[in-house]
Amino acid sequence: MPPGAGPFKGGFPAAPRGKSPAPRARGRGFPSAFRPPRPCHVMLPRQPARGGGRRAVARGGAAAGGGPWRGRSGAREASSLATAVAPGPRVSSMASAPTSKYNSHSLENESIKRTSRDGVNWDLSEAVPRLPGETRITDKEVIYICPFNGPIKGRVYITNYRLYLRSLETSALTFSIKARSSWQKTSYTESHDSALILDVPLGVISRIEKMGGATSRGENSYGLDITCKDMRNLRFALKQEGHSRRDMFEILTRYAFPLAHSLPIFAFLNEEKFNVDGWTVYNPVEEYRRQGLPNHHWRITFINKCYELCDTYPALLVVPYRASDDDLRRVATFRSRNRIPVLSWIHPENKTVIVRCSQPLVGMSGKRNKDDEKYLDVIRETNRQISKLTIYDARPNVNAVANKATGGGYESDDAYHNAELFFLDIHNIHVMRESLKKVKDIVYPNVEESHWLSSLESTHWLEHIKLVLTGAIQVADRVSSGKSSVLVHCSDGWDRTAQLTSLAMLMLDSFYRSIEGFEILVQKEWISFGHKFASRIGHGDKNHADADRSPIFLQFIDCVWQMSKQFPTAFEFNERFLITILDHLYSCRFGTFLYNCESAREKQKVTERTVSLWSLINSNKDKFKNPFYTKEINRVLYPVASMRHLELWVNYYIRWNPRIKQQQPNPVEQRYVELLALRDEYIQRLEELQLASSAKLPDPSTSPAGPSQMMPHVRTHF
Amino acid sequence: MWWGGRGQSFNIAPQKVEPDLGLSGPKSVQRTGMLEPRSCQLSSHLASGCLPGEQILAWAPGVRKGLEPELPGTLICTNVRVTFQPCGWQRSQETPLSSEYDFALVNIGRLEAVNGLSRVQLLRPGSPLKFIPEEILIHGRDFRLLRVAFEAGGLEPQAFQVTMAIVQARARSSQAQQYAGIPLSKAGQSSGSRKPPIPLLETSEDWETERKKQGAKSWRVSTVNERFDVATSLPRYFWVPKRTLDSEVRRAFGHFHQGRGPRLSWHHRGGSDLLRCGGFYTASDPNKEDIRAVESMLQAGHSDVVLVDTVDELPTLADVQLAHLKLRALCLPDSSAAEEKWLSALEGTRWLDYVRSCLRKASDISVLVTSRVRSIVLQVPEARTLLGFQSLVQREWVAAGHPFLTRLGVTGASEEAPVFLLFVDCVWQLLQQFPAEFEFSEFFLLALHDSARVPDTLTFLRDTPWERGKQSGQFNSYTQIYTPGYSQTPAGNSANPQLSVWDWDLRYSSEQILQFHNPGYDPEHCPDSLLPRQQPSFMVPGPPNSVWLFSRGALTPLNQLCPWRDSPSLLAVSSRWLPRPAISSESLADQEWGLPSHWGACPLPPGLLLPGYLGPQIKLWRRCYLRGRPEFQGNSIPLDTQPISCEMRDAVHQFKGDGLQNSFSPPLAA
Repeated sequence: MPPGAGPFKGGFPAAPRGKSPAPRARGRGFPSAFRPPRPCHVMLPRQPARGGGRRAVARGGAAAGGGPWRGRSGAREASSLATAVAPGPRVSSMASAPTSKYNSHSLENESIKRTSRDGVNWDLSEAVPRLPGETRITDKEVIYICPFNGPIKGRVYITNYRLYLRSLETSALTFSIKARSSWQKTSYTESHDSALILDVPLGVISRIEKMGGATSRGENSYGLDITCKDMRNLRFALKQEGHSRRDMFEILTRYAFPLAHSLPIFAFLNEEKFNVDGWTVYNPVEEYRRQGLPNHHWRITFINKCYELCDTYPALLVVPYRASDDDLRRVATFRSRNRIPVLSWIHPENKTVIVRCSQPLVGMSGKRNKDDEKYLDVIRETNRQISKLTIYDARPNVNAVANKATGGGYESDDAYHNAELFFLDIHNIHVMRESLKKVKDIVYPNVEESHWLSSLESTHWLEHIKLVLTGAIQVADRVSSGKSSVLVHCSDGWDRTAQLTSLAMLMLDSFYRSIEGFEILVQKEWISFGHKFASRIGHGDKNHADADRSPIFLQFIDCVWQMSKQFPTAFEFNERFLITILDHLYSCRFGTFLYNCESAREKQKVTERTVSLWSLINSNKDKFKNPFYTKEINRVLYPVASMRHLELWVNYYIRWNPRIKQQQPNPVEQRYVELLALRDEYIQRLEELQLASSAKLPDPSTSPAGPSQMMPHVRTHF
Repeated sequence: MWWGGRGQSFNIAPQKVEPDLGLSGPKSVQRTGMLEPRSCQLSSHLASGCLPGEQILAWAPGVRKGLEPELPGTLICTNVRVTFQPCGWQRSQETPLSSEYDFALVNIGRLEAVNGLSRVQLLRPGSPLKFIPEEILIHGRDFRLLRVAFEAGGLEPQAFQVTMAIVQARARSSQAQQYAGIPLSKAGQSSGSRKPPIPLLETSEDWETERKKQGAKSWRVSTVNERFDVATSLPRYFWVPKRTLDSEVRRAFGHFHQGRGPRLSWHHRGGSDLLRCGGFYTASDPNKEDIRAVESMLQAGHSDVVLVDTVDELPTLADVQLAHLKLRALCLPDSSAAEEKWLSALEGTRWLDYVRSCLRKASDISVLVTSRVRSIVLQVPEARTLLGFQSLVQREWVAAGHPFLTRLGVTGASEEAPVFLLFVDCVWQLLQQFPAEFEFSEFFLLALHDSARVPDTLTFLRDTPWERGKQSGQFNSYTQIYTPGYSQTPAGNSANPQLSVWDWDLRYSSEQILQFHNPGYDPEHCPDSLLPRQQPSFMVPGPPNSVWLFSRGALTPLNQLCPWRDSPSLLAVSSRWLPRPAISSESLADQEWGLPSHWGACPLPPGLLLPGYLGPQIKLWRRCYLRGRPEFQGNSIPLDTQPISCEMRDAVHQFKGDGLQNSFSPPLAA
């Protein structure tokens, strides 16, 4: 590596935090000039995107350099970045925001501090973080009824993207918040004024209710109660006079549920620019090529190019080489919603495959379809190592039988001689929704105290997680050790099937454990194969009681989190990555999760008109990296799916409770990142010195500890 | 031959149950010799790892199962332990005990023999073993599990022998009234000149040094208990207020349970002191002077005193013991608890509940910083270092006379209760919540947890400092003092007095000891908190001599310090000082202080760790309690980031050390 090629080229950015107010003594023991640069990669002010290479990303009216978002001060730039990386709806008082203990976050902090310090003099519209394309609608004085600190007077700002509240009584603001957060988290005490801030994307809102009527008396009993999709409720008390509640209710309803008011979802108005285009992350042809496809047994077909074969499948499918397009069409008639068995993943060595589809249309009469039977046999034959094809029906046995009444069913033994069928006992979307509701009951606003574990047990949430994981482990094990091809389906093949295939692929293929690999996995198995995000989440839709809503994708992410807990070095991404994905599952800021299937997305030109969530993440990857990640090829992960080893994801489900908040960022990770940076710095320094000394000493072999000797030793571990 | 083919019934050879079969009896020696000649050389090879006085009772070749990879080796039963010796593994002289392969006999909680589908529990001698075991499972009381499968092919008799030998050795060891420590000597160490790894607090110098370190200026080291005649359970030295005379101390202590009067535990640099003492002796009838002495000791120059009754809200000994037993039963690999009922079963053990209440109490106390405690919270930044923590355990648990022997049930007394293990669990919870604040790692806590069951050193083997001293023959230098029982101390089988549990290298290899360090610990993390910060608000003078009782998360003013002065009948009614104040479910940390207003609302001092104790924050220590489970045994044990972190830290240190400063220091500035 030539000098200057390392991550800290050109010396250490002359202390980007040069006048950092951080009080802690550090860098003891070596000259101040060599103070370890704090992991500054995170928040360095970015050059505005200019030039051809990035043009491709630039869309919309804002020409590079001339847009409304250009030409602002560096601080603004940084602050927009800061909101970009921590956009999630979050309640935080200043003191509980990541303190400046870690310099990598102090920039973010500073921008907020500046906001609050100068807040009074600022134009009000400037006091609220705003995305390009975001417009302010109104603001109102309200009392926020904080379930943890009691009523807090504040001003709420509503834009077409978010609800933003800042408390007014900064000085009087609840000593307890300040004190508590400093007790709970770190020993650090903040001396500046702190204001409580609530930053909630409107997309997160599931329901808005009026509480109290004209006659209600008690204090703060008249106002709005907002139910959110992310495990919390917000209550605002308003004055009874002057229609202030009616106004706020109408505005919120309008912008939180734009579909009901023929307004566009915010993602279509968002004019954010990133230097990476997330829409290019997933290219099906490339992904199948990575898997070694097409090959002798499998071909890529464009039969669904115009979504004629199956309107909820992607345009590009991988099917057995020996099955003709006509065969596929005939099979489609026998599978629910024409979702025929297609390849999801192929084992690189033993060439067994994971195939996904929907249930066969057997019905009460026990119909059979020769083409379907033959097709499954063809799939079985692509792998010559075993005589049977394994079919996993994700449902409980009884549900599968019950589905016959509505024309569905499962593959019977007599019709499919060469297949073994197993039921995985995973319950349907309604059961999962009710289970999560119970979880919310025990964690929000107050955590169930006396019988925490048995209450948790009675929600059955972890039990469902366990069943999903167990199913995925079986699929992975059958493919990897059993050397048998596997076909997975549930009823329609877009909920439980997606969970099982994607988790099994995550266990089998280490590629999906990288940041981009995981994005591809989500993009492929969930988005392109028609998990009904719009119906399950209800983006912009006011019908909060819709029976189609269900936290299936959240459950999948929870399973991934459980795996990452058990294998802390196996995943390139960290917990924040997962939480960010979940936050934007609801936020409607990005187009990634909008609509139910690829055909609908194409119709709406989502990739042209909206920004991808992966643009945000990939342009700021360091923030989402797990420092402990050790790249491994071909290691199959089998998590322990036992109740003894599953945990409730406290940092997600109970994150609104200030008492439960954990130290963020995780101090151990932080420390590790610092060590990594130190190591890089030393390596680089060593190289520089060696160069310098070898210039003086003609014989480089005399240099006692050249990088050539040191580095291999160090590098072996990483 | 008294053994036969598979499937027949056997009874234990009669001579084995003979009670007079002493540990060093000639018969056992003979028995060892009875083994086939081909095993002789093997036997002598095995014996090389023996401790002085240790005898091999039986052995059999076998394969250790469960953990990956499967290890061929030999299962050996001696008069002090069961050990599995892998083929080719040589016990190093420096680590005569192995944390991995050794099971002290007292630690064996359950023994199972397996043949085909039948599985028998064996612990009582005399229970017939009806088959030749193919495999035996040894469940440790410390949650460890050893699974050994015996080789087939003519060696079954040995499998049978070793199994029965374990059963009997275990029975003998539990019968022994006082467990004799494993005699140890460290090679190459002349006893006497050796400096213990941490101050054992057995000399007054140690106490003086420690006092100065804490900056407790108004306190002094009292020698009143030098002969253990004030209290046998107290250390020979402790700290009392400077102005209190030794005679007053003696007087005052007499009115406390077992003579455990109030003494300084820890001095906060802000000026507050943490005191601990036993309960008031209810039957005593102190006179005025005594009361004054007690009062002045409790007050120790402060105007405000808060009493905390730890009996209140904390589990009783019986509770703790029951919870621990239940937890152990639940964590057995074949526990009958249904998978879907695991969480409520875990709740049913109440272990986590007790952990929670201890943490909660300790967190309240650390807010108050003037009281007495049973389990001290680690609010001292220094105590969070490896060394500091060991000193803390030595001072507050070992020197302060925690009856380890009784509590851990070695004596079989009824007061068995693993309070110390509860404490270790509490510390683990703190470590979980504040992973960067502790220098020691989970592995260290695990080692500490396990060492409570390993009878190798005196640290955890005696109930009181007095007994420890007696055993180690320390009184030789004080021979003019009459010490009851000293003369009966059997010479020869005492553990090496010079060794304590802190000599980790007895049982752990240097690589393992390296893992005791928490790589996430950032010593620069809390430099501020190390500096004494004046906390003037703590010093705000209140109404003179106000006394408060802290109970159930609330402070109640007390108009008297001692329960006797005006109404001795109060105590006759209840052991509590006062009727309970209103129950408040919120703890102190949640209220707007709950402190008397004149104390002022001062910000909490930096460096104070207040643990969260909400249900979801208290976790099960899986790596400890679930060690015996098949998923852990089967090596699907969740990986840990610790080793790579350690490597990273070492690599960085190496760079820092060799790479830069030595080789290239001059041109650095360039």
